[in-house]
Amino acid sequence: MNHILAKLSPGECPKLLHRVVDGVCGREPPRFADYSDTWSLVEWMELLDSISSLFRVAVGKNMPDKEVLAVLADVGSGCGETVLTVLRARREEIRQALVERTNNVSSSTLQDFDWQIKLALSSDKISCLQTPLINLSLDVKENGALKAVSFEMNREELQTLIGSLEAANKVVLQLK
Amino acid sequence: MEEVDKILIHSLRQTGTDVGKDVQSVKHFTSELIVEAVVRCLRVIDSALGSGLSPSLPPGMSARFRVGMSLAQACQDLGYKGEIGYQTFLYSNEPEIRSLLMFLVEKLPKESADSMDQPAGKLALLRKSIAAQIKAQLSVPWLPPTCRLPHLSKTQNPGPSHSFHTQKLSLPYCLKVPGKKLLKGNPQNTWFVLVSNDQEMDYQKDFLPPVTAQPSQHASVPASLLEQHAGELSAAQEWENEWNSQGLLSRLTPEEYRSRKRARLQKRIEEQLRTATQPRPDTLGAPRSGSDLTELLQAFGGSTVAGDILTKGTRFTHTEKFTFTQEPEKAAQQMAVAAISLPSSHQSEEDLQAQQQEELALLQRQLQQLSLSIEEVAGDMRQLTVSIHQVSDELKQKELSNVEKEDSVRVKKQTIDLLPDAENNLAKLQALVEGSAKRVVNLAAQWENHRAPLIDEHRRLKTLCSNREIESSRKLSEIKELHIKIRQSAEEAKKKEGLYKQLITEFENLPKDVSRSAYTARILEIVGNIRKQKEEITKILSDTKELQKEINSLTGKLDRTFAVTDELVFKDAKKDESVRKSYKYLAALHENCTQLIQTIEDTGTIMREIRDLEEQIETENGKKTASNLEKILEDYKAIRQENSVLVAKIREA
Amino acid sequence: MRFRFCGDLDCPDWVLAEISTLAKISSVKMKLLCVQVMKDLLGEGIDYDKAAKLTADAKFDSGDIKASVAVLTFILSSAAKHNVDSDSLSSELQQLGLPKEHTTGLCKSYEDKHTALQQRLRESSLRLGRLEGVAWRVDYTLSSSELQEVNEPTVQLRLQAQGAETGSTEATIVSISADKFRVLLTELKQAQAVMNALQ
Repeated sequence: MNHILAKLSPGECPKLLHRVVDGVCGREPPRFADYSDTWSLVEWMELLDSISSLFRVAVGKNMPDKEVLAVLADVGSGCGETVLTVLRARREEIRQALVERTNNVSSSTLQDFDWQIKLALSSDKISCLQTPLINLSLDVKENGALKAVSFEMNREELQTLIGSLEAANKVVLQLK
Repeated sequence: MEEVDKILIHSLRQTGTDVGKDVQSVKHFTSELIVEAVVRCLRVIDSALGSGLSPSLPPGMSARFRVGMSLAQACQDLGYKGEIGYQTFLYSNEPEIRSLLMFLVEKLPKESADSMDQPAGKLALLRKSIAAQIKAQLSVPWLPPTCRLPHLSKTQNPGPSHSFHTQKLSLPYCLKVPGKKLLKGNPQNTWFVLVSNDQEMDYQKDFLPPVTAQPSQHASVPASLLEQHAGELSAAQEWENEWNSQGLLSRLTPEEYRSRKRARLQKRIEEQLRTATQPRPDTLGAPRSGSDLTELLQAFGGSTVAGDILTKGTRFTHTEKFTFTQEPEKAAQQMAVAAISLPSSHQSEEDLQAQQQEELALLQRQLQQLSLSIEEVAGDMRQLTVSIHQVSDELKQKELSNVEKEDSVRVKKQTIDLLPDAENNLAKLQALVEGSAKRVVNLAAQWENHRAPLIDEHRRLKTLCSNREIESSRKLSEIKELHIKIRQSAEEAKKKEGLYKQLITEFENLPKDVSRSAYTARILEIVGNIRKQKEEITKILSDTKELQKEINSLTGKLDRTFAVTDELVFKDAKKDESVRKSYKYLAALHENCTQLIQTIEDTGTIMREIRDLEEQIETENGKKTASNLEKILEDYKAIRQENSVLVAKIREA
Repeated sequence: MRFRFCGDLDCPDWVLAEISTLAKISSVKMKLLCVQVMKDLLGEGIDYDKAAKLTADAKFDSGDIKASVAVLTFILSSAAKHNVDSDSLSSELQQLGLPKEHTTGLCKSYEDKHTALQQRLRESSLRLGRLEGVAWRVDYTLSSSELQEVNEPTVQLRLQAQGAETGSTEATIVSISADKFRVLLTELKQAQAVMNALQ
């Protein structure tokens, strides 16, 4: 991969690398269209793959600088240094992303949640209901697909939910 | 009348009429003011009716006349029964204006009064606003989506159907709290991140896109930001809670507290894992998971607690370490090899796959073999280490017993040497014993000498220490109390702020209330006055009635007396001439008296008429007839002038 | 005519017709029938044999029994729905032609069970799903294929909820990272505060 990376001018290099790290952290990765004159599509895919896995492995296995440099040995030393600089700057961010990926190993993970409070005014059973209800909707990523789950709770049910979550939070606090 | 005027002016001010401060009663109202007041009232009562009218009088006379006419018409439309016309506005007189304004003020909608009567709870307000909102929305007709104006689309369009998504954002906040994130992460990383802080800053300066550009969809920017903030805020709060409840008591700096907690946690986990893996090693049934776990354990424990496992320094841990350090290298090398081999692979896919499969199978076989042998070796090694332990323990024990035995042998040898010259040696020994006894006594005395001050010193220091302890715990409790107090005062402040706000709103609603109570007080007073007056009137009425009765009875008595006298005198008059004369006098007297009474009654009637007339004069005077007439004359002249100007214009044209 | 217990609307014709049927049985029997209907409304079930026995001396056929039960159900549930006090209910029923003794008996049992009935109606109002149970587990991740040293807690949550349409319970199992979990908890607490302010 490294001889491919060498095609890029040294000034462009950090920018590309940072964009790749962005991709690792779940943001927008660099687009091929911006670099189509430098590389072919195959080269591009390969480059992207190898650089991101390098970053992941380097942070994941906690590699010392020397080893990273050794991997990048056949590329010019300037480029290797650039990779190291980027790695140092973004280490914590990549670590967070890897923790996120670790959590995503579970079959279903919580992506987002929304809540909404409604005041039920009246129903077919009783004309003056006046009961507040909360709607909690969870976006659960289940085996790669997003699934929306929604609960409607009244005050008591919310109280039980919060009670259980509090108990769990106590344990989580001990683990921090 | 003054009270009525005050109420009127107050209500007019509420409708938005600019009534000057010096205007105290309806008497002082100018035409302009009257027109403005009436138009404002009309607008409040019926916006459709009032919107076509301007609150200011135009300069032209004929225009004024038209304004007056339309105003009069509007008032009549509202149901005003009294006399009204343009003259009411232009040539005002006090009673008419007053009655008109009273009619209009009564017609003003009484919404504010309604809301005042209900309990102004927060919930009631909410319900009311919900009701109002629903009512307003129901009153708007439904429109097809394409015809909706922006203000309708808010209520008639279905809400946004997309849900919010959050993404991790990268913010340069690490500059402010450098220690926090690092301690959360791997302790080994700490030095590294501290060194690379410059590089991070460079990154944040040169490459980090602004927050709004970071998420892939623009819609998720606010959600992401809010979540990030909520997460940090709650983390800070939780930390503060924990620190206040436990951290402060531990008397450590926050960093120390954190690291200690971390170490404790790791120890706990380690112990639990160890107990879980303990029964495994000797059973060969599941050696793999056991070795995996111990490996993990050692990697885990070795990083932070450089404790007993590593110091033991068995070959096992060394090899573990070796493989552990080699692993990333290997992985990286493999990766590099793969990366290089990838582009050069131009063989057909199937070939490649078959080859790979073969290779994979081969490798897997190898791997299995290797792992089997490794397991065996590991098991052997474990057994061996255990036996080594046992042997070394035995060795130690044996060495100890050896030393003991050597000592006893030496003592016995000496005694045997001393045996031949027993007497002498005994004496010597005795002397020696005595000497050492003396020395012991001496030493004991010396020791006592030294000990006493030392013990004193020790006691002093001890008390000092305990004092300090007490003081520090006192201070701690003080700090805790302060914390509680701070929280309490914050809560109180919040509560008071809420109260203040509530009072402010109440206060804003109050002025109407004040006038209201003033009115009721006045009304009660007036009612009292009226009652008093009524009582007086009834008193006077009863007086009058009594008088009437007296008069009637007197008249009857008079009539009867006159009749009797008349009869008697008439009887005598036939006989006597002088009596006849007296009878004539009597008749004359009676007639004269009747006339007199008649005259008095006539006088009373005339007096009453005079009073009525005087009152009429008064009211006529009140109507400012003279000034109004003058005004009318002036206006008449103005109209004539306007007319002549118009005629001249027509002629010119 | 508008009646408060009908929600300020006119009384339905069938109710008007069946009120005269009700008048045929004695007031004591009607009160006992009322108790049965009230039991049904409160979810304890109605004993139809008893209802038949109560109406036996008035020689009701099964249609009449059903009609009287239906009309009592309507009156009681509708009055509770519109929160009518027993005095106004009594006067309105008398306006509709129910004899005074019958009305008193009916209103007495209505007054006794008024709050319970309203509570029951409140509970049986439409709900889109209910939360039935929460179970949790906290995991501590030591290491993973992605990262050698993770050392982060995660929370596994199992939420048992009654489905909106089906009424059957379904469980959602979800794992939440510690940060997300904290945010979720804080947000839910905020929501709870809002909810408490509403009641």
